[in-house]
Formats: sequence, C-alpha cells, structure tokens
Amino acid sequence: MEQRRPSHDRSHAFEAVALPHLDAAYNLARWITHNDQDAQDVVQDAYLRALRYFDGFHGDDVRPWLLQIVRHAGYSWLAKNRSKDVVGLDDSDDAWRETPGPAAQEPQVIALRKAEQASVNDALAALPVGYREVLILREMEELSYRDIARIADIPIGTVMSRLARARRLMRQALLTADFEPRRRSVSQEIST
Amino acid sequence: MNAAPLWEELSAFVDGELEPARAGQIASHVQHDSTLRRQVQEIGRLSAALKAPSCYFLAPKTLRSAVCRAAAERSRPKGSTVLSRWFAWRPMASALALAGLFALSIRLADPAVTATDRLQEEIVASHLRATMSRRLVDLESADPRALAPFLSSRLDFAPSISELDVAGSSLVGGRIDYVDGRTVAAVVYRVGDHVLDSFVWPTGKGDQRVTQTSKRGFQIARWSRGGMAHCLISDVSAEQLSAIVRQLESSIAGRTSS
Repeated sequence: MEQRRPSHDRSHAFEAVALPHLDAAYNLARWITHNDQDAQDVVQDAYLRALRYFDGFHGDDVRPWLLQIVRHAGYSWLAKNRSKDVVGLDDSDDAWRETPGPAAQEPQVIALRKAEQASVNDALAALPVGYREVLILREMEELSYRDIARIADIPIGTVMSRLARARRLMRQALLTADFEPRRRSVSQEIST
Repeated sequence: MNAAPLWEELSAFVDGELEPARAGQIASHVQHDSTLRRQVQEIGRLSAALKAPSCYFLAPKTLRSAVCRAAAERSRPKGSTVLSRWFAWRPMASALALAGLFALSIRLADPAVTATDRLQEEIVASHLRATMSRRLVDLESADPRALAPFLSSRLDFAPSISELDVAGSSLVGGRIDYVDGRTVAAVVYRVGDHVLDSFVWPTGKGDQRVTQTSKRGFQIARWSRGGMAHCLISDVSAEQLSAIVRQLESSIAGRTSS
C-alpha cells in the first residue's frame, strides 16, 4: 500500500506537465492521421507511453519530448493502417538542393496572398507526411530546427532541406489551386 | 564567400536559423534583389496562412478527460481491487485528519493569541484617545515625586516613575487609564515631537522578557518584572523605542533589586 501515494502524485505531476501540450499533440496527430477519432487514439496512446517514460524525463522542455512520442505513435498508426502513406523521402537529392529559388513574379506573390484557406489546408494535407510534419512543427508550433530534428529523428541539415522543399511544394500546389475556380467559390480568402 | 542564397538557405534565413554573419550577408542580398525579396514575401505569406486558426486542430474536451482518466488508471498498481481503491482514499483521509488537528490546535492557541492582540488593541486605542482628545494627562508634572502620590492615591498599587534619560525627552505627567479589564497608571513622556505612553499595572504572572511589535504604525514594547506589567507605546522608530526600553528597564530593575 505504500506505493500508492507516489503513483498518485506521479499521475498528477504528469498531468500538470503534459496536459498543457494536449492541443499541440492532437494537432500533430490530426495532421498525421487525417481524422479525429484516430488522432484521439494516437494521442491517448502517446500520453500513456509518455507516462511510462515520465520518470526518465529530466529535461526542461516538455513539448519536444512529448511531440516526439506523439509523432512516433502517429507513425505506428500509419504503418498499421496507411502503410502506403509512409514513404521514404530522398533527402540526398543534391541536384534539387542546388536549385535557386523560383523566379517569383509579382502576380505569383499576389496569387499566393489570395490563396484560399481551404486550398492551404488541402495542399498541406496532400504533402508527403515527412514534409507535412516539419512544416507543422515549424509554422504552427514555432519550434527550432534543433527541436524539430529531435522530434522527427533527422539531422538538422535535413530539417532545413525538408522545410525548404515543403515550402516549395506548398507554393506549387497553391499556385495551381488558385486557378481552379471550383475551390475559390467555396471558401474565404486569406484576409492579409 | 558571399554568394546569393539559394531557396533552401533563404528558407532557413526566414526562419532565423542561420549564423548571424551569413544572415547579415543574406539580408543585404535581399535588400538589393527584388526576386529574393519576393521569395521572402512568399515564404512569409505561406507562414501566415499556416498559422491561421483554421489550420490548427484543437483537442476535443473529451480527449482531455479521457487522457486524465487513462493516466490515473495506469498509475494505479496492477491487481487493483475495490478494497485497494478504498485504501487509495487513505492518504486523503489522513490529510483531512491532519487538517482537522491543525485547525484544532489553532483554536486551542486562539485565546492566547487574541489576548495579546486584544491588549495591544486596547493600548493603541488608549494612546490614541489620549493624544487626540488632548486629555493627555490628569496631572501635568515633570516631577516624578509629585506624580507618584497622585497616581497611587487613585490606584490600588504604587507605580514607580522614572525620568527618561534620552536626548530631547521630558516627563509630561500622568493619568489613570483602563486597560486589560483594570485601572492602570499611564505615565506620559515626550520624545522630540512624539508622545510616549508608559502603562504600568500589577500582574500575577512572573517576569517576562521584552517583546517589541508594531501595530497600526505604533511601536509597542511589553515586559514584566517584579510583579508589574509594563507596556510602552509611541510612534517613535523601533530603534528609538528599543533604546528607551533598555533605559527604563534598567532603571526599574535597579529600583526593584535595591
């Protein structure tokens, strides 16, 4: 009976530390699984794993640690249910890395500005998960390359190239989407 | 090497992830190159679009409670039974019992605390009443030998009256006051611009060392010696009052021992 109190306190300590990051965890899981119920299952699974490893966690930044576990649980779910979504990315595509930025012209910038939010969501959802996750961690969670490298288990240099590639893919998708009238009519424009 | 940045480096530049020196070089490139400038704008637009609330999925409330429930369930040792769950309440029960005991001990200590408190309130009130009503003294006199018989004739004890040996101080007089449920002697001094009341009354309790506190901006010092309770109150500084107490205390001690 003597272990009761520590385990009780431990669960409370864990909740105090991990619950503030539940939105970040769910958002990442939701973007990996593409649906609510599976995302909830992934987060629950991840939180229980996190609770198990909680005693071994001595860092000060909980969010990257927790998101790393969520991502891992998300990938386990993908492997089981959407194995074709887990595609290896060719990060050694040096030919691509040497390319200059696209020769952006004024109309294209305007087109991107006017890109509809629904198109942005669609474009992000359509990205290979390896690009999607770095973009989410960078733009939505505003994490550093170092934290992203740790969460996605890739070198910092790879974070840098995947982010650049992800942005380029988003740009292409949005420029294409913008000229599809069907989408433009159903959603709002970006206000900025 | 100060080459114009490629897309990848530009992307890291926008993210603020480059070495400061290189970031500075790129900043000047961007400044002078309209194509680079548009690319930076594009990355910025995309970033803003991805930060839109409609892109961010907030955790449903049910998930929050489900996670809490699961964490609590998992923290419970295996083979958890109804009995052991009941015992899980034990820490809370003992905490409640402790809290109860604590409250009880406070209540037990209460009379003593309020007695000191009440006395201090009375002393402050008495001091304020006297200083504000300008009826500071019943008999105005700077001579202890004139004051002593005046006070003892109106009291059931004979207070000893000392002159203050503190710079800028003088004996003003004495009055009869009512403190702690009985009539007491109040000897009034002036210390500079401050009025100092020195209350004296007989006490059945033994000697008590000096305790000094502040109450509502007044300094209060109390002690007992030779069956007499002493209480000084004034708006002098704490240090000044300490000095006065030391001086009065030693003169009283000298008198009671002689």
